[in-house]
Amino acid sequence: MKIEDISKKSEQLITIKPEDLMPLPYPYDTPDADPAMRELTQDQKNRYEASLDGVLAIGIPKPETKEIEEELIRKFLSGLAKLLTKENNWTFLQPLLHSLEYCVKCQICNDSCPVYVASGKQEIYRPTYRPEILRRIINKYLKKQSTLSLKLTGSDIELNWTLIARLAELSYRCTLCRRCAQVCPLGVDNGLISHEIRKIFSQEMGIAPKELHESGTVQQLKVGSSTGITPKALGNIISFMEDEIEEKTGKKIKIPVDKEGADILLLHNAGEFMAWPENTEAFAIIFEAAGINWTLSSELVGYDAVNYGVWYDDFQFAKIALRHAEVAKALKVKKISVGECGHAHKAMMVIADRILTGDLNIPRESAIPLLADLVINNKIKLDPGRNNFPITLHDPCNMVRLMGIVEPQRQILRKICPQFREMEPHGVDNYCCGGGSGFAIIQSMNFPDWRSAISGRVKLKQVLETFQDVISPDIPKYVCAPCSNCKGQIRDLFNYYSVFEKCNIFYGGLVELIANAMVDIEKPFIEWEWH
Amino acid sequence: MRIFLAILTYFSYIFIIAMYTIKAAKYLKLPVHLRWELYPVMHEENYQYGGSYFEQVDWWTRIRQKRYLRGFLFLLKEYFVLGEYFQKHKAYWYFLYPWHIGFILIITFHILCFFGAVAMVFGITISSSSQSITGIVFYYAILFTGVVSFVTGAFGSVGLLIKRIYDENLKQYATPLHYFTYIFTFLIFISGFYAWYFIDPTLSEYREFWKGLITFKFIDVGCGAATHIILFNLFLVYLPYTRSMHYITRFFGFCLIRWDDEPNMRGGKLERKLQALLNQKVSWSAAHIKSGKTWGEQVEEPKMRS
Amino acid sequence: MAKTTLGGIEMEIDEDGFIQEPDKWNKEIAEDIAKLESAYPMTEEHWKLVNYLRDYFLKYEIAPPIRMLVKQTGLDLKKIYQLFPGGPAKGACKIAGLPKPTGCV
Repeated sequence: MKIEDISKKSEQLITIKPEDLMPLPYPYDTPDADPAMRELTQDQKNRYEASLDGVLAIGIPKPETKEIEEELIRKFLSGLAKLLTKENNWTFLQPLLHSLEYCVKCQICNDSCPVYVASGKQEIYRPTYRPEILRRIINKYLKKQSTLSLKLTGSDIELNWTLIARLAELSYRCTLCRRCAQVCPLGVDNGLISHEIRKIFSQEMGIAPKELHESGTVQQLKVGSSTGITPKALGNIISFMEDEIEEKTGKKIKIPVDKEGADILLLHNAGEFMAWPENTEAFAIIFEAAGINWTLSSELVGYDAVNYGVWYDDFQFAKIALRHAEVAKALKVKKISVGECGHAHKAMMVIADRILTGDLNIPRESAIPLLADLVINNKIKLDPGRNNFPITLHDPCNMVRLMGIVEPQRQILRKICPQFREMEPHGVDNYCCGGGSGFAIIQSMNFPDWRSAISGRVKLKQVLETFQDVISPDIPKYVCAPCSNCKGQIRDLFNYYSVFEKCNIFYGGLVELIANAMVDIEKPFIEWEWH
Repeated sequence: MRIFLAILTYFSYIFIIAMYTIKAAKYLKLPVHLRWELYPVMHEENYQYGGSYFEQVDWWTRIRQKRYLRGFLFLLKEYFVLGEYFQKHKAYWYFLYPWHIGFILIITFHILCFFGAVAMVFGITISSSSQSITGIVFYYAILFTGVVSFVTGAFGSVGLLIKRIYDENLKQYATPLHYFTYIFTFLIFISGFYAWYFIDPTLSEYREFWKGLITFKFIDVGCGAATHIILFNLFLVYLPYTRSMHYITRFFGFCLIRWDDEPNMRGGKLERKLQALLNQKVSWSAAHIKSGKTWGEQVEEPKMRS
Repeated sequence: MAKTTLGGIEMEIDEDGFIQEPDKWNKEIAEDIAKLESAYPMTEEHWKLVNYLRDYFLKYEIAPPIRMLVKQTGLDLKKIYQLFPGGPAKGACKIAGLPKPTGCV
């Protein structure tokens, strides 16, 4: 395949064959261990732009007329032009230009990309591929370089709808884990380019995966949460949680909601309430035991820490970040603490830091250092013997590589999990779960299969390798993933490969392990049947 | 010829300095951006494992010690090691490294020629048998940097050319300019080598040429040296049109982007800059963005229940 | 978006078969979806779950957390998967005419 083939019309630019995929360790080291990836139906292929790799993350409807198609091409170019101006994109202009202008195409980043490697090194997934396409378009259509100059700089490319539709999908084949950027000796960030391409589509053309935009940020701003939880539903779920806590621990705990002047406003990813309430319950149990003055909020957006804008749209991002700050301000809390959600960590502490000014710049921190303080300094009584099973830690990219929270979670695990073992590589060199940048919540058509078989493949390999000596299903094992998105991805990945059935590997968060070790709770907190 | 060589040399040096300055200024004038750092951040206390100040409870109340020097030394060291390539792509490093050493040394060689010329103006003789230690040091330093740069640079140029042609990953993304650059640099290094080995083994011609440049008493040089000087000067003019600025922007990129973990504090200088940026009008045309309004005006009025 | 006939009327469904107008839901529609979800014929236990989901949805405009569903219907996860091979979200919720789950769930 040649780089410029992206604009050549064909049914599919690439087709991934099972034999291309990176091999997996035992018990997935046989040729038939991989489930067959679902193909789109002919009808779906007819209706959507699926000519990249036969997978759909966005699912752009095919333009009905030539005029619509031409309008879309015009819009793409105008969006690209805006991306390069400081009024419209001061937020990322310097990093973007740096990456566009100073890549020397040495390809040293290639093998750090889990998607590229897992797919059997498909050209289109190479971390330098998207930037190359974008650079060529800029040189030819915005800078309008001469034919000779285009030839010399290898910038010839034909901009047409086929290319644009493929590029849109392609920007959702990178999890923005930024491992490629980490190895670049020149500071070039090819992950950022995927992020910026997504912005052209969302901010100029109104094109984004439905799960991220319409039922994501738009729904969050409108009804309060991207899960659809309304303040009323939240009330019901919280009383359910209180009942569960009592049932499981015998403790009667009143979960504080909208408590004005509390020290901490705890923000959870609302997905936890729906799918993993044991996580939010564990937080309540631990905070109560430690005597922390905290509260949840039941204001719109105030009970959902997520901010999907961080993956595709600066404006949706800013709207949600501001809303979080307003909620905290109205509650007069001392600080916001973010629960186990990686992207909310980065969104709220790192990215929003330069959006929030004045009295909206409320101190924001991760809950993990606070938890580490409670555990290390024996502020709650714990018995590590209760966590005596093999356990490893999956690092959410957003917490480690992208914001440097590496040790506190390890301090906790070393103290309360006698059989804790690291996977390799870990910490700032970790691999993405495969569900980063919104992938974990994209549930439509055959995308879930792609993110299990391709983007999650290296993670599965790591987990299996880490537990190879105890791989027998007789031994229960635990992957600690302190992030809702990672948990969602790991759940789907494990289901896809029947990992629980074949290897007895369970997944869950960090606070569940702390609650599980608390001496004044009689029954085990972790319920292994809920895999 | 004399005059031509001198003018070309002056022009090339002024040109590259001006172009690099303009490019650097353009880069530095870009507005402050949202944070997008990558760990490890070298000036942080726990840089060994990539830790940040976010690992502390109430991090905003603690005084941070930023070790800028550590980051600076790290970047500086990498110029002379190219460690990432050594670890991840050795076959490439074997050529890339000598090529870069060729550049570093050829630049050092010219700087030494300049200062050597200054020394000569002050009456110091530069030769292996000079009365003055300075003269001897200059003699050997110039000879060493020159010759080693010619050899390593020429070797690296050929090696990289071959690598770009035969390595599938590199070939796919190679452009005619890549090949041109390798051939061009090969000619520069090999012409220097030729002039030294066959014509001027003590490189006295170069030193005299440089003395002429700073005293405005231009001298004639032989064909070999002249070819090398012309090629090198043309190369200086060519450099700003390549990605060579990465030597400098690498510093910017690491300090201003990858390691920029500066928190925004209420009432601080950074906050004032951000407020100005948020006051710019945007023109994005998707339905959820208010085109023609500022960043600050994008957010709907808060609808707090209580 | 595609259209299909469910319970004798033309209904809009998304790519994964979730109906787009939850208000139009009725038992006939549920049974037709159940056929596609290998959950047909629907027994009393099927209806217990579907009705529970439906009632919760009408009250809170959202599906309940799975743990709540299990606790309050008395059907364990294994049983739910037996009844609805697609699982509680993609099987049972779809038959109950709820929108597809969104967000990090």
